[in-house]
Amino acid sequence: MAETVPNTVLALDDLTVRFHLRRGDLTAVDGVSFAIERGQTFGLVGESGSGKSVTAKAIMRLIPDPPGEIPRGRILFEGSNILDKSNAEMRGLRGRHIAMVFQEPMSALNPVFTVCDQISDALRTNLGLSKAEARERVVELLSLVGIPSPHKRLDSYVHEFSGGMRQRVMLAMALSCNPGFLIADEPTTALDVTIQATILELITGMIERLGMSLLFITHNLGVVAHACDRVGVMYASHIVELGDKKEIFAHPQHPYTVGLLHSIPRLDGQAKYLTPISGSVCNMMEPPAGCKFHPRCAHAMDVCRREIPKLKEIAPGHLAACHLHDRGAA
Amino acid sequence: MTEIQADKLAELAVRRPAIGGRMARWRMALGNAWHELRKSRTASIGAVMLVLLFGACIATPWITSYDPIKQNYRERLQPPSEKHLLGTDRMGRDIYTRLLYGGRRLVAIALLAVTFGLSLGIPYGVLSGYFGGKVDTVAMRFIDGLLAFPGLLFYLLVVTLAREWKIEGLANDAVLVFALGFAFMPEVARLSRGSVLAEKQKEYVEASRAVGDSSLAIALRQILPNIISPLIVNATVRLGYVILIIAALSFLGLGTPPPTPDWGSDLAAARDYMETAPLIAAFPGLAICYTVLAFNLFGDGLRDILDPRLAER
Amino acid sequence: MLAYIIRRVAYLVPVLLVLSIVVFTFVEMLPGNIIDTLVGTEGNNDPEVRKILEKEYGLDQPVYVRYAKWLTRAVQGDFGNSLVTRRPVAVELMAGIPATVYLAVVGISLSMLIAVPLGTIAAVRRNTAIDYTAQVTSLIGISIPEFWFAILCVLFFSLYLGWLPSSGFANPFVDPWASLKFLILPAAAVGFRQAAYTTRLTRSSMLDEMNKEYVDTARSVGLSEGKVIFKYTLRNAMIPTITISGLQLANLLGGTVVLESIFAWPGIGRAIFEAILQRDYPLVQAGVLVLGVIVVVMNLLIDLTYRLLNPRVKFA
Repeated sequence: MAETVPNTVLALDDLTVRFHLRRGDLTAVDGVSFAIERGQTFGLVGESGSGKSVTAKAIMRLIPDPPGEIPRGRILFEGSNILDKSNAEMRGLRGRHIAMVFQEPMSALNPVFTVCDQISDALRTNLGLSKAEARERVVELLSLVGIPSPHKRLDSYVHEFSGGMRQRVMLAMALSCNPGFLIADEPTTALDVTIQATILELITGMIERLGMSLLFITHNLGVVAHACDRVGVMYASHIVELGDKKEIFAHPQHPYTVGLLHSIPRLDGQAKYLTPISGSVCNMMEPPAGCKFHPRCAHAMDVCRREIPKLKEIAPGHLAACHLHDRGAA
Repeated sequence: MTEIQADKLAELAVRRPAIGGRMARWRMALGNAWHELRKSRTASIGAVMLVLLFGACIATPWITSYDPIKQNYRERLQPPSEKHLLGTDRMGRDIYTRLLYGGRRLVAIALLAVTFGLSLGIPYGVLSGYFGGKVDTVAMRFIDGLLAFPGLLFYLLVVTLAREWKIEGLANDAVLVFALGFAFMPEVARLSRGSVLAEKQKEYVEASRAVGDSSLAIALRQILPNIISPLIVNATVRLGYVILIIAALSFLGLGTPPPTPDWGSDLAAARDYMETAPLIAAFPGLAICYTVLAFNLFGDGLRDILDPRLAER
Repeated sequence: MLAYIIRRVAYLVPVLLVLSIVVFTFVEMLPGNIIDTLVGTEGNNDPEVRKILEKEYGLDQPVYVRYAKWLTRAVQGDFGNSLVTRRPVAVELMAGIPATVYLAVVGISLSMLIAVPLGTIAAVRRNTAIDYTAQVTSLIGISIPEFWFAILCVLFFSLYLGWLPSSGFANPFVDPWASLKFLILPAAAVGFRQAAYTTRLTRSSMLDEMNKEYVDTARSVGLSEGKVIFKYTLRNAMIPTITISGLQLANLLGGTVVLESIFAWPGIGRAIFEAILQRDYPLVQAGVLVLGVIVVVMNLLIDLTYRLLNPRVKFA
């Protein structure tokens, strides 16, 4: 889609990821395109199984092959296609330029190495620090992410931290080699509600302070409202709506987005009924023909059952993939 | 034997509507067993090998006309020929025939032994796990004690006793069944106890307790079908192991006394002719290998099919 | 940790009691008694002599008294004398232990050296030719009877090629070269089966571990694939492998009876086996007890190692 302007950090162009499983093929990500500007926070929203985490892994080139495969598309990072890079080039990129915070810190951190071992290994590999230097830097990092008395926690194992502290460690590890771009894959989902806000603020605060760009993946539009500048909504492997946060919250164009917005509980006095989206996410092994959302859509028309709608610009910078707008435009 | 158990399971599964995921899986697995089997290449190969093995064991009297024991010195140590498919041994007996009769006995002993072990171990483990507390502690210490016998030692003791009491023939086979089954018991007991402890936590057990099922009924009717799949895998692999042990014992000369056809002792006897007629030693060895491999393949495949964690690999 | 060890050692007591009762019962259940054997060998069947001997061996006392006495003496290392050599059983057994440990340790180490890399590579290169080869070989390894494999090795390497002696033993401290030549075939026979087990185990636990998220995390910070696999993943996968190998080692100490007798290896397994053939039951009894104790202690050590390797498990 959009040619890379110098200000774009990351641009996905028609990215498609497929898995060849024993039961058949599964297209987890289908023709996804979006761009993230420097210093921007981009929120990728969708239910579990919509393909948002697979998108993140594709950007990190962590899709196992086999069974995964990327038959189409480009991932342009700082103007060059990640999918064309050699493994060695990719290693140079990871950690130092792109890093990732995973959803479940307990399983994303290695259980049999101490926190210091894990983080300093990254530091020593990427920045060539000595053992002592790395250790010192780990202390700095841990205090940066708000772990109290970090020098005492250096040689602890992951299971010895609380959930929120674990995610802080995860963040420290991701930030360790000063990457310019961070992917956060549902970083607050596994945490207690009371800690979610703290971690969210920590991440956005760090991003701002370090002048980084962020791809924030979540199933929670409420979180997006706090953290993001631009939003992409994913449903069943497709991006169905893309635009500035304000624009999307004020004028959602896709019935799915509308549904999502209606299912956020509101505490700000504008009491409305919660309206859950009827039905459940389609089976990705046998997706419905046409628009993947039509079985759950109140406005489904004949054309929705036949043709997959394309992303169209509805307002400047605001795109949606819905046949309702074909009508409106025509 | 697994088929027999499978039938019982199918019955249980049909009578009690789906409570607990594993049971539903079992019903599915049995509903189209062959379809499921074909999901795992290992299991299909193992199944085919086992069908051939059991077929040969059952059909033995019809697929050979020789006597496995009667000696014929005029035809000693012959190479394979049309008359003697695999040649003859040092007593002039047809090796093919001896393999068939030996295998028949071996497989029968192994099946009985493993069944015996399951029938001892399952109640032991289930009750121990179900009652918990002191009963459990004492029961498990006893199991630990039995597990302290390394390798062949336990069998050596039992077989020696049998020898000293001059137990021969069928009675000797029964002693083997007893010893092998008894030695399998601790493993079964531990496995079923572990599964019971895990299943006890689950909601459906709570649910049936709430409905007023008496405690033992819960243990047997609810938990049993759910712990059976790891046990079946284990028992299948154990069958192979048991065959190796029987063969090793008779190879040492502590199993069945000579005239009876037996892969282990035939192999030991063939050692003396290893340089002149190495094939005699090859056939019983290959037969053991084939049988154990069949059980191992089938067990491996079953594990892949029954363990949902591996489903997508 | 100390408290944990003490508790675990206390656990051993009932286990050892069960073991000792079974071993004691074994001799009790033999037809006739020790006197028959003694009298039989000396061709003397005088009832008076029998009485005296019975008294001497304490056979006139009730069974629990005899058990208690036997156990008390056994705990002190006194297992009585061999009926064949008339030397103390403890001495006979001690002579066999080093050779058995030597064979078992070399066999296990050999198998680990081959199996851990092989299992890891098979898992990393899943569904490739290397993986299939490793899987098929290890399936054969666990299915082949070890005595047959040993015989085939002897047939090929000693009788056909004439490279190695078919059986025997030499002290490695006296003549290392000869000792090595004697060791190769038995160690290979032990190692092949163990390597088969360990390869399968390493492969499957590597497959389990490689699916975990921390592997992607390690990749995501730019670590090399070698480091990710061989440092971060293998370290986790080795926990079950080392535990099971330890149990196998314990098992091997008593399980090499067959191989020891094929290769005329003067270990404790062969000593027990020969004692059975010669009806030297005090030796059999003591041998099984000693090996059982070794196994139980080994299991304890393995449990402690497991806890050291795995920081998630506490010494509670």
